[in-house]
Amino acid sequence: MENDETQYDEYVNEIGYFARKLDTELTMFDRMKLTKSTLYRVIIAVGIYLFTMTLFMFIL
Amino acid sequence: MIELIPIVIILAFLFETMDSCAGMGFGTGLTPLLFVIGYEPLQVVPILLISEAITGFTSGFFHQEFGNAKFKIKKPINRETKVTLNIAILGCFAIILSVFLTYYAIQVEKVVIKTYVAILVIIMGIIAMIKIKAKSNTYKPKLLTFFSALAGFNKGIGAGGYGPVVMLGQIFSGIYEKTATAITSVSEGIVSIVGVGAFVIIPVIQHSSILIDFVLLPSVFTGGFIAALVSPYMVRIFPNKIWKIVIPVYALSIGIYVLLTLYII
Repeated sequence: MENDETQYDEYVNEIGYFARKLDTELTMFDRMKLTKSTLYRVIIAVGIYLFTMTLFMFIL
Repeated sequence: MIELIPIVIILAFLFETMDSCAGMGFGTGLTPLLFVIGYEPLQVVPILLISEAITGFTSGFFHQEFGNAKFKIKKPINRETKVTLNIAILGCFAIILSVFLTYYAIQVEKVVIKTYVAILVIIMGIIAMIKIKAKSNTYKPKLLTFFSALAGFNKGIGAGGYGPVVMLGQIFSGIYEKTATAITSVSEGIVSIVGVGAFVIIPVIQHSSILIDFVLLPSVFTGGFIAALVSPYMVRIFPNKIWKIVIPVYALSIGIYVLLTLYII
């Protein structure tokens, strides 16, 4: 547990740690792949867009 | 019925794509173009602020989702979040000052200050291009504070160019390009919310009223929102060395574009 916390602190305090890690560990093709959870979040974002546009129709 | 204007959607999409990929250009690039098309400042400025507030956070959320940056709201907050807040706080003070100057009609020679910012951005772009191959990327917080304050000062006096100075300032301060774009998007989102607030609150304090025309909002929001989803994904896919070239070249183009709009177009 203590070891986990130390590792966590190390990456927490390094700016750009994740982006660098993705660049060095994954190829460009691998970085194109999307997880299911990301796709769901994109769908939710599209839903928010449609909701906002509907709201505009009533307000503006 | 809301009106969607195709040319405005396309322009908003293009400029927001570059803004979310390279951290600059939405306000500086789109505003003069919309003026050229024939829209008035009160049809453009508040609408871009509202749109930037929404798309800044959307883009920031997806930058986080795609791993370009990791923001952490719960304590202990990480450095990426601290840097974002530092930049945003300075920007918030600046935008309030900027809106005050606009309302109280304090005359600042726009051409002179905009020329100064354009030249500053061009010089920073050239330095960033020279430093493309530099290996050193040690984080320099004091330098970052200086550039954030400088960007805030420029915005405060109404000269714009907040994005380019903050973005290139982060790169000079040793922040990874991909992460710097994410930080800029979120901080611009925060600053824009405060800007919208200032536009609403200041007339109330002054007991005056202001008529904001929302005709452009659906179109700017549509183009900007699509770009805010696409751009973080592009930032993730393309290697950082591409952004190391794109960001200074785009900054240089923005600086030249501002000079052209001031003196030629």
